[in-house]
Amino acid sequence: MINIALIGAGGIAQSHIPALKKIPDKARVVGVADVVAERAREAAAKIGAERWTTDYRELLSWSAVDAVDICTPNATHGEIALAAASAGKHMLVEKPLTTNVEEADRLLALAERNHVQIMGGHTHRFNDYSLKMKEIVTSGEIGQPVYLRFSLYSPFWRSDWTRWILDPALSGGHMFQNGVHIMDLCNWWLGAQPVSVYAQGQKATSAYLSVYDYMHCLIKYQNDAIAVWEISRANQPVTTNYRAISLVGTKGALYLDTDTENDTIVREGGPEHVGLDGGHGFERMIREWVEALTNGTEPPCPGLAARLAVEMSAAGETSLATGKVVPIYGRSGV
Amino acid sequence: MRDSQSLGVVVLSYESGHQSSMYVPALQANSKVRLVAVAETPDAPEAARAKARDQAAALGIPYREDLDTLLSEPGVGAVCLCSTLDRRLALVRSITRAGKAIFSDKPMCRTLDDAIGIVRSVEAAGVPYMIGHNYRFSGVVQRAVNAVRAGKVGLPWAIHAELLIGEGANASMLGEITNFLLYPADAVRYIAGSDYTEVYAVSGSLFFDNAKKHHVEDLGVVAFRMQHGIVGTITVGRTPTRHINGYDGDRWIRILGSHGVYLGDGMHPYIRVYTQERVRQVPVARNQVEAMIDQFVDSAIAGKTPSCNARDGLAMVQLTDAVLQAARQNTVVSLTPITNLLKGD
Repeated sequence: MINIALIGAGGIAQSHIPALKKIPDKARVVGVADVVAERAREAAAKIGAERWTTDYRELLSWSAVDAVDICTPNATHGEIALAAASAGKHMLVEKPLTTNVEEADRLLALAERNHVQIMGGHTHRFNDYSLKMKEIVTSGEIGQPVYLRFSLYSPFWRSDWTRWILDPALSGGHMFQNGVHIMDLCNWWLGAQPVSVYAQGQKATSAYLSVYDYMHCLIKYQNDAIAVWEISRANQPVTTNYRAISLVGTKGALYLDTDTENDTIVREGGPEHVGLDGGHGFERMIREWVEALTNGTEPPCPGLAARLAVEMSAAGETSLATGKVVPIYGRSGV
Repeated sequence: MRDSQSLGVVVLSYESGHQSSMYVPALQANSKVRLVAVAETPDAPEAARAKARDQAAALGIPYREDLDTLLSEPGVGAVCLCSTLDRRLALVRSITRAGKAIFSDKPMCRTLDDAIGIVRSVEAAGVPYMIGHNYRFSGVVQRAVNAVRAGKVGLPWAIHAELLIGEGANASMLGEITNFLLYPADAVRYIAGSDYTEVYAVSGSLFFDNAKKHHVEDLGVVAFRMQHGIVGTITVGRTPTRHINGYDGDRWIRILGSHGVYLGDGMHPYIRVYTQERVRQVPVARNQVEAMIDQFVDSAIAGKTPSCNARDGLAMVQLTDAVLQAARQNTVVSLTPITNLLKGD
């Protein structure tokens, strides 16, 4: 039985809590920390944890805690994860692992010294579609994957715009908020080491935005593979919900798009897609994390892979700001 | 002959296979066209001349090498030009001197200097000139242009396009960026009504042995910036994979705008055909080459500049050069405005 503590009980934690409750025979949540006392208390009650606190450092001192699930705003991940590694706690860190490369490197070094296991919370890896794509790639059916395009068009963020997601100081920017997911998927599916990143963006909703609500990114890989992705949080109408993926290999290709993964309902306002269900990503991610902790095996999204996605996201933000191609020097995380 | 009823066309050179596979059949399908002669120039390689002679015989029309004399004949209104790229400028100059309309195979020519020379020659003579960027005349591009011009997606701020040919046996020895980029890139430029200002590209020899052996790319991805702040990406290439669309492969255009999203599939409308051997999708729409040639014929008869003109050809030669440079140097390349390229001598 793994004793887990939840740090951060805000938005994304609401997806972690049900998943944590689904594995009572393997893990139990023994404590919750959140800077907002009411939120910590409510989350603890919801998940059946005995203790809660507003100070994550206090939580890390509790000897009963084997591992922590970090669900705080992006820019706090590094500080909290470093403290957890110092305290010898294993961890699942919601993506991004950190919002800068230097912090990620310090974290991995400390974790190695303290024999702490780190898993990056790249939920997309655990969704039905991404697992099936990976399964087919791994089977060799399409040969060596060499070209990937990932397109995701969505309306503006359906959350409180006054909070941290639209503040680059707290989120790291859109590259760290959503781009990091796709960076990781590109590396994972292609199984190759990136060498450079180039990105362009738009502030399509408003010139007053501090983050780009639309971005695309072109990634060059060491084995000559190429990935290009587009993410939009700027689409009108607000019903826009489009995803298309093509992954071309030397012997075949995979396609997944709105037509292939949706039903259609026709109503007075016209046809609407019904679907785009990602599966049970959070449940699967947390179950596999706990299994890796239980068995002492490498987690399915190890810290090094999450660190590589951080470096690429940082490169993406730099490219957005400078208009230049940014090299990736990183240690292999694929 | 160029009157309100018909157009006499000289078929000049078969060095590009498109002459026989696309243009002559499309010209023959147009009731306003009369093929006058097949021509080559005496300085063309013997193999090219022999091929032209054979094609003339097959078409049942004269074979001529006295090009200047032929072009001076009143029955000639236009020329369909499919020479090698290095001969294009000289031939265009001969044709414009005679005041005849020109349809030219793509790409316009090999070098930016030649492209500038062609534009100047055509514009000075005031003759109709069309470059064969036939994708512009496809259903999906026309639909996208109409949607954008009608304001259906509002102000476009990102455009993406892919043209990935399927079921290839070999890569083009030109490299697929030189060979194909102009199709989707011209379409995007046409849809946006804006010129490219900056490009970055990644390319690779990913699929075909001949591409690897001769160091030409079989796939490239371009990120671009245009006037009016539009950004986007274009993928172009060829894969060996068996495809539900056969050779047509993947061809789509997506436009993100202030008030809507356009998701265009180049195969629409199609019929899906299932047999014991395979599944395939067969396009229903009219052949885009015929649509292009029809517009050329009408423009030539009317003496008007067609939709896909010499400046469009120049823009694609310039873009292709910039994209190849960007891919080679892994850097962003800026493009000089077309009007600036044409300033001075």
